[in-house]
Amino acid sequence: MTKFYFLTLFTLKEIYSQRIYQILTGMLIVIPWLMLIPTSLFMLDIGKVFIDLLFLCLHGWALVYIFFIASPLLARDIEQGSCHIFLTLPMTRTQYYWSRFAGITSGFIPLLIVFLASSTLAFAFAESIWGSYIQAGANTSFIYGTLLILLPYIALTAVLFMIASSATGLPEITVFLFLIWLLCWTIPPVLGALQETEVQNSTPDVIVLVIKAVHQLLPDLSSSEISLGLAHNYPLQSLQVIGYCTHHLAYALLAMLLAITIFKRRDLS
Amino acid sequence: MAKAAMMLIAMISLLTLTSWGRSVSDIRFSMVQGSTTEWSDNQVLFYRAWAGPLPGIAADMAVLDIFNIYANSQQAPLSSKELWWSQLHNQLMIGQAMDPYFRDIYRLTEGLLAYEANKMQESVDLLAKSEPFLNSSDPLLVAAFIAHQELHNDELAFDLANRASKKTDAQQIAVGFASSILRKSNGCRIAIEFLAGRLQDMPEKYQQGIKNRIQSLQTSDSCRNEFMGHNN
Repeated sequence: MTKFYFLTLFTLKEIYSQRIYQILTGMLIVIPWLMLIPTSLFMLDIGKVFIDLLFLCLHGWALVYIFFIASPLLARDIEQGSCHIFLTLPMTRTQYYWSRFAGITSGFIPLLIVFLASSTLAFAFAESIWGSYIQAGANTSFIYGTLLILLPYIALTAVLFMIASSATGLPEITVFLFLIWLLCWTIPPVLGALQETEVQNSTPDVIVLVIKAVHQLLPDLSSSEISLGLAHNYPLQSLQVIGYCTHHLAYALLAMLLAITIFKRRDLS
Repeated sequence: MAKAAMMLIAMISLLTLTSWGRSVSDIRFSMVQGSTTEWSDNQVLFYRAWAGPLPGIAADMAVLDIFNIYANSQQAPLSSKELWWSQLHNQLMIGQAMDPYFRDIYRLTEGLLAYEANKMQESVDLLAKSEPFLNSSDPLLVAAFIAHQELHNDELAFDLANRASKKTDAQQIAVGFASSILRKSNGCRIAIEFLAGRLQDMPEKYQQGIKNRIQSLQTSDSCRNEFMGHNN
């Protein structure tokens, strides 16, 4: 357990020492305030627009973190053989992989705290300017939404570990992760379109089957209903939220178990 | 010293060349031309795909596009304004499909599509789409008003006003409006008052269409006769 904590903390320190992480943290203080500028262009649903823009930022920084901080860190371990430093200690590959995952996932927390704190202050300022155009409880909805929207990115981090468990280096990890992210982004709306009779009739059954199969294999990044509902301050159904959280956490664990299985069999020499 | 001077000269020369290149390359934003693209529901599918988990942002972008279209249409000659209205309609449809809860879309439908672009039937259709999504009776009431006042379709107007009056926030005006259609007693005064009320919450630069409509009502013969009848 000590080894697990040690490597988790080490990973967190490693991430924190990177300049891009520090810059990202600094930017998250400023960005919510900058979002007030485009928000001011709108008329009635100003609170909704502000939340939309903050959710956009959230997706943006979560992706920057995964692609530009987490992926290179994991790739360095494999490309430069840094993982051997840890694996030569009495540390199993399973412990190494779980610790790295815990460390990288924990890296979200400082960013999240800074983002939420800055956004809350920006919200308070926005309420003082626009008053009734921002619905009561909009900030609470935003915090709730942020926590929910971040869950798929934990699942995506687990996918990153799964790719890294057999990848040769950073380019391979980045390309495959990008492809998976792109599929996760576009497949749910495509499936939504397939509900329409006209589209359904013009699409061959095989393609529908393939799309559905791919959708089942990938984490579901479609938090569109959550972001839309919470931006308008509409309550979410408890069962749906529980299902959503269970899906992503279970997916992350499943992907990690698969990643560890592959990594354990990998020839690192 | 000589090296530093050379470096300075080289940098100044490069800066000059950069500025000159930029000034003659003529890369600047040109005004996009309007086009009469017909609306197709398939457009929504594309927008849903790129918006992914952020359909709200796609609706916000559509609204920003609408502001841009309106600004461009104001600079366009009268003969080519129609080209912009087609785009305006498309963007409103996209915005509504992406985020059907977004009230700005319905407000712009009323202010710009109805009273600037004069696309009354399209406005009524779009405003009526708010029914399952908004608790507010506002868009339905506006649709009823347009159906009655501009399309002269009292059957549709009554149906819309009736639906508006069933909303939780239905104001007295919704109920009154439905009953006045039934009695066929509503006239210019009610219409002008209704339109004047709609100017609230509407930014000044987008009020012109409604103001023009109020003015044309005030100067129309039928309204003059009605006002004179009242005075007598």
